[in-house]
Amino acid sequence: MSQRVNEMPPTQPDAGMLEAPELEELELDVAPTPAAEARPGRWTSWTRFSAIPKPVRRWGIALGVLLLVCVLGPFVAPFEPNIGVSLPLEKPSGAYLLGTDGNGRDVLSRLLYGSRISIGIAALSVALGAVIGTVMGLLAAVTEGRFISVLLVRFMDAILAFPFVVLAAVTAGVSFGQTIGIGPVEFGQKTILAAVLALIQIPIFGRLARGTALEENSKDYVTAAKACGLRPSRILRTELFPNVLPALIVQTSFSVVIAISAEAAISYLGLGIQKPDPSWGNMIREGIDSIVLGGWWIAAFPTLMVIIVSIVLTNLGEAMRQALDPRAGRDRITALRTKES
Amino acid sequence: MPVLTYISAKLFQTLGTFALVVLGAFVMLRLAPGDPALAQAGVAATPEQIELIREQLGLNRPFLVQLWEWFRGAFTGDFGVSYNDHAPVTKIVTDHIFPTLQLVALTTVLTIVLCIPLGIWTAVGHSRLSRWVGNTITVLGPAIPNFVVGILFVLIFGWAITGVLPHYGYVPFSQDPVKAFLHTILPALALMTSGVAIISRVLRASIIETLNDDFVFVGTALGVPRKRLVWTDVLRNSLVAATTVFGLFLGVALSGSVVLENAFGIPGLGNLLVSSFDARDYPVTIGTTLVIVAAVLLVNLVVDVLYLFLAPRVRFDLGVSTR
Repeated sequence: MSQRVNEMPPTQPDAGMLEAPELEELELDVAPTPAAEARPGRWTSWTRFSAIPKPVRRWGIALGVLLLVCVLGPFVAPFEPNIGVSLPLEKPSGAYLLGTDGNGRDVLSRLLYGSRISIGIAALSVALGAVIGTVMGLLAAVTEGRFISVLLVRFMDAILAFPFVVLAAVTAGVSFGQTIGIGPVEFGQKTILAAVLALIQIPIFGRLARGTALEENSKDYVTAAKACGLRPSRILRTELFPNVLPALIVQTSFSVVIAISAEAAISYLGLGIQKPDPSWGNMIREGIDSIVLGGWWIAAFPTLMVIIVSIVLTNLGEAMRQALDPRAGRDRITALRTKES
Repeated sequence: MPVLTYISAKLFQTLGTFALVVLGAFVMLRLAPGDPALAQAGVAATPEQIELIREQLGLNRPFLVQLWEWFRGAFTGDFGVSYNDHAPVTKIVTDHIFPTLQLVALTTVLTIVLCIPLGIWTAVGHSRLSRWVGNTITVLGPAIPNFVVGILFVLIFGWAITGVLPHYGYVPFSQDPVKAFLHTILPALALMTSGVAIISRVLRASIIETLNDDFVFVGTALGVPRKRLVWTDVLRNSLVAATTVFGLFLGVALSGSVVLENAFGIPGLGNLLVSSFDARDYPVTIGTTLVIVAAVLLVNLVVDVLYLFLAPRVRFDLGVSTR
């Protein structure tokens, strides 16, 4: 047997890869923080924090920094975002750190305001989509085999069949510039845009929730719960949902990436956030239009922001999957990455 | 279940989904703000004129009647006429289909040509470089949206190194193959990034798994050269998962092209969709949407069927026999 392994080198790192996640856990067990041992109880928040797997912590902090920029951005922005403050197309310099755009507006200030709008809309849309999608998915799983389940699955398939930019463009075009008032609450353009983008997330979360719930449903602990005479709604709440949740949490991270790129895409096409409000998408649009005039910096910085946020969120999602999803252990590729990073 | 039953069941399912999509598109566009009649009549039109145009376009009939009329026409290949220049939608859409096809075709070819060697190399290679490439692809590839890569290309080739490759415009393949290739290469490269990343990653995973199979052991024992073993038997046995992902990717590519066409100035379906929306030319919007959705559904259907022939195990799981 050992000879066989020797003859096939690729399988060797493979064997190591599978052990990678366990290695990391081991480290945590062997070396708990000294502070935690010295004063039990007092440092719980720190010990809890240090129990988070290292990659999750690292990328989580990166995300925290980005969110901080979004929240504090408007307060530290040097200029008004929508008012021209200098000559158009000033190069990045000491006075205008990232230059000014074709209307003489400060790119840094617009980027800071725009980050809040873009990330805010993406987060809201994922929250909406995740809740609706999960409810639909779990409902479809519980009613499996009945007509309502077929209907729900078909509905999600239909949304999925729409290429997502087409779906976003069509629905955003439909809701173009409208405001909807429900009672005293007025929903503005940005909320509606978030609702439109949530539509993309519904089948993603719905299918994931349904698939995971169906898989869990056939396991012994659910059978045991049924044998104990628990009502289906109770089983769903206390048995199935907690076990479906990790997969959903992981998906949230990836979904925000999808939402951000969708928002940027439709704002780029002119169907999303309307001028003069900044968002990454419409800043890129304006920047592309002024490339012929030599203004590369206008589109470059929002593009960079989309890339940075996407990389951080993808890595965070990948790291969380390592930590939360028991199936990730079987995925050799992801295991390989933990070992080498 | 015989294969034919399986295929027709899948076909039926696909048609059902398609019908839902058609209905959805129709309802959404009727809910859209902005009046096509107003858009066509212009600002200076009197109410009587607008009413007349509405009458001509059939917009004053009940919603269900409009839907029925449209469906009846669609079955005979008549998707209505454009509100703007009264040209048949079928003709407008077919005029715009070739630029998109050219882009997607080049993307497909490039993806396949790149993915297979890349998947094998990152799976079998031991060098530091192959490992680095494998990791970088898995991290960066799926993370960065296609259209952002396209914007980066426009920035690089439009500002930093101008004149190397054209970053704007479209030349049909039939007119000048070389020029057409040069004009399509940048958007195609942008469109394929996420696909190459995901497909080569999946391919790498399944190659690593296949390498553990007994037949590889036997082949090695019989003295089959390793390269031949990997490129023929191992590769063929690893293609199943990659094919599925490839099908999904084609769907994504079709939708990703909507934005990329805009950035690179290609007069394809994506551009048509956006411009018809701006003009509230609903028949054209619906026609374009349907063509894109139909293409995506068709690809998925083909993958579902292909799956049967590539993976005997799946055939067994689904209870489909080839006889």
